[in-house]
Amino acid sequence: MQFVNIYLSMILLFAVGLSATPLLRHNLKLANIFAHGIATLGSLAAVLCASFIFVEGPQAFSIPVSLPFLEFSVRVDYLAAYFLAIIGIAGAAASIYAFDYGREYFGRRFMVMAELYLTFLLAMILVVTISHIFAFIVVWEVMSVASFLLVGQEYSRPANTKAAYLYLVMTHVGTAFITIAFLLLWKTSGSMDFAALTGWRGDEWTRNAIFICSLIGFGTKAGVIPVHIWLPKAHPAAPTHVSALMSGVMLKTAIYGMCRFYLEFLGTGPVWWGELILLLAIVSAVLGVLYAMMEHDIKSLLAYSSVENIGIILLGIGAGMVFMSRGLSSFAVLAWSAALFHVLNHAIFKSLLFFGAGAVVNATHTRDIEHHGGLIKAMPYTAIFFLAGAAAISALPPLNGFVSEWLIFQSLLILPEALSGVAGKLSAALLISLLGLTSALAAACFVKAFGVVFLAKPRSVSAAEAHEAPCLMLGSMGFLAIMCLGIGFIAPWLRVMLQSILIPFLSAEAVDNMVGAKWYLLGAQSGSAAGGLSLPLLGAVFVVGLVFAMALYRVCGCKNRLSGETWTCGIVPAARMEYTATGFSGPIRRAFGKILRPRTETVINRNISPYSGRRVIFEVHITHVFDELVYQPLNRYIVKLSRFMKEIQTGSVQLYVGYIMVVTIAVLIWSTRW
Amino acid sequence: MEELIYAALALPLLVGALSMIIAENSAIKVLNISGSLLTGGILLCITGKVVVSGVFASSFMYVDALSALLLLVVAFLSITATLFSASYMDNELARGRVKLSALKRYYALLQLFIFTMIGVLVVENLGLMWVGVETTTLASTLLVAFYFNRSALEAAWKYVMVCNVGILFALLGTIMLYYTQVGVAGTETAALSWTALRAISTQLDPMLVKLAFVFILIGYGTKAGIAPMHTWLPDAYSQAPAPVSGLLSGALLSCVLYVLIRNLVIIQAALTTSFVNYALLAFGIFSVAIAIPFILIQHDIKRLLAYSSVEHVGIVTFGLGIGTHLAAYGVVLHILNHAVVKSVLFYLVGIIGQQYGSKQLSRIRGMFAVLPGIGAMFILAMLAIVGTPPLSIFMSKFTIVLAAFEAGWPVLGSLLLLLLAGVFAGMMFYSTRMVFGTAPRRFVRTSIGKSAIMAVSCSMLWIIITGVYLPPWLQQLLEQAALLVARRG
Repeated sequence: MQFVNIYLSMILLFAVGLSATPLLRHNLKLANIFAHGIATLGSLAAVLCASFIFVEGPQAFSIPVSLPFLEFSVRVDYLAAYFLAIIGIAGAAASIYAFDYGREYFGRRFMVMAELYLTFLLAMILVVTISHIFAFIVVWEVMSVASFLLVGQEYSRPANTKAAYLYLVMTHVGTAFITIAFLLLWKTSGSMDFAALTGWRGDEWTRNAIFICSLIGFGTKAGVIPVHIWLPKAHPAAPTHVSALMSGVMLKTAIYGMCRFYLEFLGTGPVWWGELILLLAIVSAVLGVLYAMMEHDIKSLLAYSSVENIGIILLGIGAGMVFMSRGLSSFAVLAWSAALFHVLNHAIFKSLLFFGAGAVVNATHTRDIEHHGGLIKAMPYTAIFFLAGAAAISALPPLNGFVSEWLIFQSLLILPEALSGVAGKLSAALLISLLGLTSALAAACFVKAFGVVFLAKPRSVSAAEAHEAPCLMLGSMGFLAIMCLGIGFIAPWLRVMLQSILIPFLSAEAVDNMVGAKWYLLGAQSGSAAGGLSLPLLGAVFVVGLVFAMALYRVCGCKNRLSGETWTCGIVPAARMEYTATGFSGPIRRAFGKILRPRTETVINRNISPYSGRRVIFEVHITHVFDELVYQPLNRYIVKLSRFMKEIQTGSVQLYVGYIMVVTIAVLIWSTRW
Repeated sequence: MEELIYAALALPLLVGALSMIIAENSAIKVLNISGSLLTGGILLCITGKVVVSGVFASSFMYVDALSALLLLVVAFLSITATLFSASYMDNELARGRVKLSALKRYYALLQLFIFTMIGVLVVENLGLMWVGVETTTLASTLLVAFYFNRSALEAAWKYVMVCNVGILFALLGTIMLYYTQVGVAGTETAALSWTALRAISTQLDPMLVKLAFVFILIGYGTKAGIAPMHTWLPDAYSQAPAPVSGLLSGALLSCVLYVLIRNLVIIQAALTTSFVNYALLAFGIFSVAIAIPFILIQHDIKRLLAYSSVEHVGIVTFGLGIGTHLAAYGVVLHILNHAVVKSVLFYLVGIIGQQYGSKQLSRIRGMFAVLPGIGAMFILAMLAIVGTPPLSIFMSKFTIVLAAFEAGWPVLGSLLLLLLAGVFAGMMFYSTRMVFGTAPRRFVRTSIGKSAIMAVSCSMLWIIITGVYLPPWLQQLLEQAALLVARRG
């Protein structure tokens, strides 16, 4: 069996899905099963392709197309295969989820959504496997446009139209920068094929220009602060299975692009490259999680949390680049592999959380968590799976999120060795503490999300009438929850695999150095002999401890169980007494008041007699710094400038003829210089 | 071959004359559609012959790959325009905006307009080309003024005034070229013959040619809509009936660019300095830049598209300024792609305008909800015009940017890309508002007409297919045309 055949049959599968789905438009149920069945199979085929690579080694082939410059060349190395596997896993889960979720859209442009979903999935698969500049830009833009149209799926809400537009423009500007970066590479190397760009060497100016352009371009797609503004608006607007893929996977294609540029094409650069990325990363992580903490829309909360996680991934990448430029390859391996590990983990738990959120929104018909509450009783399985995701994203051991965040922590712990001067050492220490803060805030954020959504009493009628999600939605959530746990346990082996991805880009010797080290103690003892602990042993200790505790509880625990209403001074407990999301985030809002700049608004209705109780409405709005300080003034300025420019065309023919005269004279004068 | 050219020239005139005589709407429609199909067929034959047997030249006819490519554009657009006109004018008749007598005049002028454009493309002599361009102005002015209301007349007046100033400049430039020709070859040779001029182009007096270039660029640039001589264009495009706007922006603009290119071939060979390149690059970038504010803040959908034409002329001019073979290929491909995409956009806007009863951007909302098919085609065509892959314009736009990088102008290439992103922001802002959201409550859907749907979907198919596949004969034609356009040496 050849790789070409598997790969092309995967493409063919999607092509069949794309062309045959419209034929089923009269039978939506069948169309739903067919389209998402194809999507599931296609995603599994992607996983198959990826595993083929991991078994047989990197593969490449090329098919000429009858257009100038365009060539359909595919090259799947370990790096591409890793991202392909991530897309496959999350794509399969999302497609299974969509079997049940898609029914919500029957009669609401379901066919268009299914077609676009298939296109989107296929485009993402192509983005990470194609190895030709021109073709890459084409599929990259197809991916953007397909997801733009999916964001506009529920177009009757004006906010969604704005979100879709903002997303489209931001991503297009990003693509322009990516194109510039690629064309600079092409200009100096003379080849459109990625393989020929490996180890490309150019002059300093070009290298820096490529770095900056690719950082802006891919950073926009990844949602790095300050070019993140589209992300928290666009991700929640899309249908949930698409939001999950956008947040969990599409952002990762940007990370893939960065890996290609900074590992393969540009290679080791000056230290400031890594430092710049570290700066952007920590800003994204801290601000992302702060905004997530303040958010009451459950899908926006998850979207901001993606900004935070992209920040964490970039911390790994930035540290890796700093180590590379200092010649500390072993540490670079550690940092890069930690970043890559977090890419996988974030894809899994963010998809899981979005699926859970989608199930909740389906059941309650609102995204505002202040109107949820008590859903654990009606939706116990969703609650458990959401909890698993929340625990994983909060980096609790033994789940997967812990492993990658711990690895990134360790690479940051070594960072002071690589940064010179007092300022360098201090800022490295600051980075570590800020990452700690981020993790803590993330945990708080998800305590809030889980607690307010699932615990206590329902706060609205719709929350009280909620029902459990259908079985396939639960199935895909359960699958991802098990992945969260499983990856936590197979982490040591995964890490070794991840480091082997890096062999072509960093020295093999450095990779070997790190493979021997234990993952949980890397920072302290890299290179030297590791301690005697091993993960299976830890697992065994954990299980034995658990059994012991259970036994202890059975034997010595309290025998009498009484259940009754919570005592509330004689008043019947009601949902209005509960801790709200606003209340929960209050302390943090105050502590970070300088950054968040909350504006509170209290409206008291005095028309009602004070003896029967007043109606008080309390609202808090936080300031999104970059929105209000950068984008809104920029927008105003552009509009103002445009209005000013429009003055040149007032409708007077004399003036128009005057322009022609002036230009003629100007050009004639100019022509005398030659 | 010569007979075919004469047939292609005579047929529109004949159909136009007959349209004046016939008294019935349906007969006029059948006559015009079949006439255009026949003319288109003949033009395709000419193109095919050029592909197979190369350049055709007679005493004053000359058809090479470049003119064949433009003839292809005119053929395709005249077919779609007449097809679209049939439904569009039916609707206008039904609404009482147009009377039957005016309809006859419309079709006669339309055919006359097509005739003048074919005329520009088949003549060999630069002087005759100038005459051809002038006659296109005359024919199209009356079409712009077709509705005979205040704004249409104003637009037509601006059009004819500004363009005539420009075209006089072009005449001056052409006369200067003749003067240099006489200086080298004497008065015996055929005056202003393109082939004769090309043969002696390296011996022409550079100073005079440079002067001629300035006047020719400004002159034809006015007619093509290069900024800052584009000022007549938004009015004319927005006031003309939709099919005419499509032809003006798609076909006429391409024809004027063709004439400019013919002149440039001679000028670039005569001049040793890179002044021509710098001037073209500057005008190109300026045209793209000047379009942005007008695209960002706009209230009229047809004016929006008109400024987009200014932007695309800018891209073509920029490509001409680079002058390498790659850029030349991008230029000819871009002319072809822009013609198809812009014409279909004007047709779609014609349909939308009739459905919503307005060209105001603020009134057109929620097309996905009430006109899903048209809405989908509109957003697709809009994405195409701003150069989104894998649709056709992306190919040519990317080629031109690529050429800029290749020729050693990475900064200019990057600047163009970023300016285009600005255009993208404006165009998509209005497009998303038009297709998304909810329709106005008073919206009543009326019938669209089969022939309009046919014209639009033909063009849409073309846009989608040529984005990923160019037939070999077209590829060959483009390559040959690019060889002509590219600066030698």
